[in-house]
Amino acid sequence: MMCRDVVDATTDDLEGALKGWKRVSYRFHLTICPYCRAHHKQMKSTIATLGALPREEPTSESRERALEAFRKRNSKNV
Amino acid sequence: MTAKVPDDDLVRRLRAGDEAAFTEAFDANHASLVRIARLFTKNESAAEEIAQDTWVAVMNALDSFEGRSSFKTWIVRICVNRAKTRAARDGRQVPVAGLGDDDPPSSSESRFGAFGTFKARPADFQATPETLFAEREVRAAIERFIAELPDAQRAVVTLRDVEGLSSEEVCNALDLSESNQRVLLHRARTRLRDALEELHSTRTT
Repeated sequence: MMCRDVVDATTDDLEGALKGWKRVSYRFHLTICPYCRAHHKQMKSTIATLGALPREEPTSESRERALEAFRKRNSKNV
Repeated sequence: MTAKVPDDDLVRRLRAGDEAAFTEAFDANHASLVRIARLFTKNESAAEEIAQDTWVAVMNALDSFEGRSSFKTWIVRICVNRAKTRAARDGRQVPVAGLGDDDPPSSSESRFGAFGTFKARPADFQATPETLFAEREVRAAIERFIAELPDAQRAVVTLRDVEGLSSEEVCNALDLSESNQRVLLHRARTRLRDALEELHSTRTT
């Protein structure tokens, strides 16, 4: 495996889809190549960044409509 | 995904009519529903409506929640179904019917030398996401990078990485095979990595 192949296989690795010999050579390459380790870290940071995106504030109209549905349900269930 | 037990508790409180539980569930999930609905429509108010309709459906179906998935997974599934139904009704195509876009992974070939080895060490992304998002422009830039992805890539990366669904859930929501899902996810992550590297390099220089 060359760096380019390792880069191409990053998502397969992170998703647990690398099996057998491919996984072994991927892991081996990472242990010997600081460049690919740096790339691997970048990909993980990318994923962490996406997962940490701040949420938008809900509109008050949406909140009211949902709350109304919630209250309606409860009044039926009493 | 969130652990099962707190969700059971949340649903129990919702069923009992506890409005604090409603607020908790709404605040934790509404933005996700809107984001997901946007994958199926370009119309902003339609996306908001799909999210609202999802809450109405969720409230009406509360008694049928069996706790076999997390609460979020459950409502996301309802949201996706509503968004698809609506897209079909409006005669629009759902973003992912297959591999959609056929663009090659963008990971700049220029990063590699003749033998497929890195020419230079990839830079460290210094800032943690939290400090990164403290700047409004940075947040807007990242949202824009996502928005500019081809539809299928955007759908997969939004569900998997932004919203944290499992790959199985993503496949079900978008009718994709596991391997196609991974291809799209990889292309999207690769493009976003490129964009983030660019962003980090302009911030540190």
